[in-house]
Amino acid sequence: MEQIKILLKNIQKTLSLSFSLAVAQFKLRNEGSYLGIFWYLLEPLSFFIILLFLGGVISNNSIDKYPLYLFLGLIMYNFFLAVTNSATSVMSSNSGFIKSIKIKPEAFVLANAFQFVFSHIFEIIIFAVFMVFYGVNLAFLLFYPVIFFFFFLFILGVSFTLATLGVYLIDLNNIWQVIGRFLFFATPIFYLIPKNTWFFSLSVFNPLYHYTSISRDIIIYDTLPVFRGMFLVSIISIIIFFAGLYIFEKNKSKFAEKL
Amino acid sequence: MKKIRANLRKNYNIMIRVELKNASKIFSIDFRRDKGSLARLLKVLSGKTEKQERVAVKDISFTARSGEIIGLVGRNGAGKSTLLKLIAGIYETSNGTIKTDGELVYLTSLGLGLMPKLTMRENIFLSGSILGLEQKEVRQRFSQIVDFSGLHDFVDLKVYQFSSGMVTRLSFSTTFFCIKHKNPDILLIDEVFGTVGDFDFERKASEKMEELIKGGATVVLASHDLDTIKKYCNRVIWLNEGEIFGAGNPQEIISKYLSM
Repeated sequence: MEQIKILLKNIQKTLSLSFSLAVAQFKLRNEGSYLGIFWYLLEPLSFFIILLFLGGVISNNSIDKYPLYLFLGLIMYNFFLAVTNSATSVMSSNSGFIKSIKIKPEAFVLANAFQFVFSHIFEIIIFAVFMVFYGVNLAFLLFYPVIFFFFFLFILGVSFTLATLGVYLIDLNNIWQVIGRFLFFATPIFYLIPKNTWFFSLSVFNPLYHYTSISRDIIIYDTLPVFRGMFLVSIISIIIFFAGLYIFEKNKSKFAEKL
Repeated sequence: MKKIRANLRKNYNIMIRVELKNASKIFSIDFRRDKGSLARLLKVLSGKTEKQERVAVKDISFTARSGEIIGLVGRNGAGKSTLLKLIAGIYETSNGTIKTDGELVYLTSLGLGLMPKLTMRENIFLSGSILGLEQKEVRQRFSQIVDFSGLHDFVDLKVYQFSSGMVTRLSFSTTFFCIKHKNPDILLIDEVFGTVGDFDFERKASEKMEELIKGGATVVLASHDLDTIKKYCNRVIWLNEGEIFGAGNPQEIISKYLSM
């Protein structure tokens, strides 16, 4: 019982440190730039407009409420990419701390993820505005936090693994950027995968496909996905989270000397 | 029965706070970070693995009890920092065991964690978090930190505009009061002397350092400043090339060290 209390206390301390670090990093990113916070919105928005135009020109099969479909997929993917990309180098960026202070390195991985949550919230607000514009019932957006929770667990699991690998492999960042590029096209962000194709069956193995399609089904199209599918996705998110954390914990004692 | 014994131990003040048994640290130095994955892969495939190891600390055993102030002397590269980092848990021992009992603080360079683009206020809260305090605890100490540093007028100024003396005052002040708040049982000090502050601040800072060292915690102090060591420590350990060359009375050990 004592052990559990101590563990919870440690987790709470780590979370509070991560939050402080995330706030500081978020402030730093906005430092001095005139557009500041608006730059976060400008980037996905501009990309969205380009894709919207391309989608309209290229694809013949019109997807119902395409702008909503595209925007939601895009901001979810961007969140995944931003967090994982910076996770690859999070340990070396903070090597000064890790080598000279007794600090829990998990805090840096968590802080890294949290700082992008702030900008993601802004993007969701814009998405809500879009929803109103399209006359979609905003109430379904309330389901998003639940989906996002599991999505976040999955991303954390990947972050912890990448952070650990990134200590030993300095060009992991480059490798991951290539993987990210591949995932962008492999995931149905700006297109729709027709069912009963080989591509569709392969997509089952792409976690991003699941999170984006579940979100879209619930929020935009007002359909409840298969319960078994959602249940499986949540279980797998939890497994990936603990797997990543396990890899991190096993290696963290060696970080100080390898950095 | 266990509780009674523990209480007795506490009362007699003979509690062991730090215990090292045959602790060693071996660094493998074939690990070169500037290798890309391709180069690394080629090396692995070619089968040549030049494994070089450096023994930083070898077979160290000693105990530190509650309230003791132990000095650590030795040449550069003797392994003092490595030893302290091992005790702090920053490095893991390659061999042997290290046990610590109680809240531990490891102090190396001041000014770590200072983000120049943030204001003094934001930096105090950030440093406080990094040192392990909660936001409300930092708030409790905030005015003390500002008062001691003498930088009231600059609280909302960005730190990159501070002079180096101001940075020193800020770092020292923040670090000192945060550590004071944590009231650690074990304090590891790694050559944190010789501030860049002016004469007045230097004097204030030395007083505070003395307060910290004599505050009742178990202190292990690594320094090149032998006068400071003689002044505060009741025991001195002389480390040379990773091994203990001598341990005992400060005057004795220091003169042995100097005559080497």
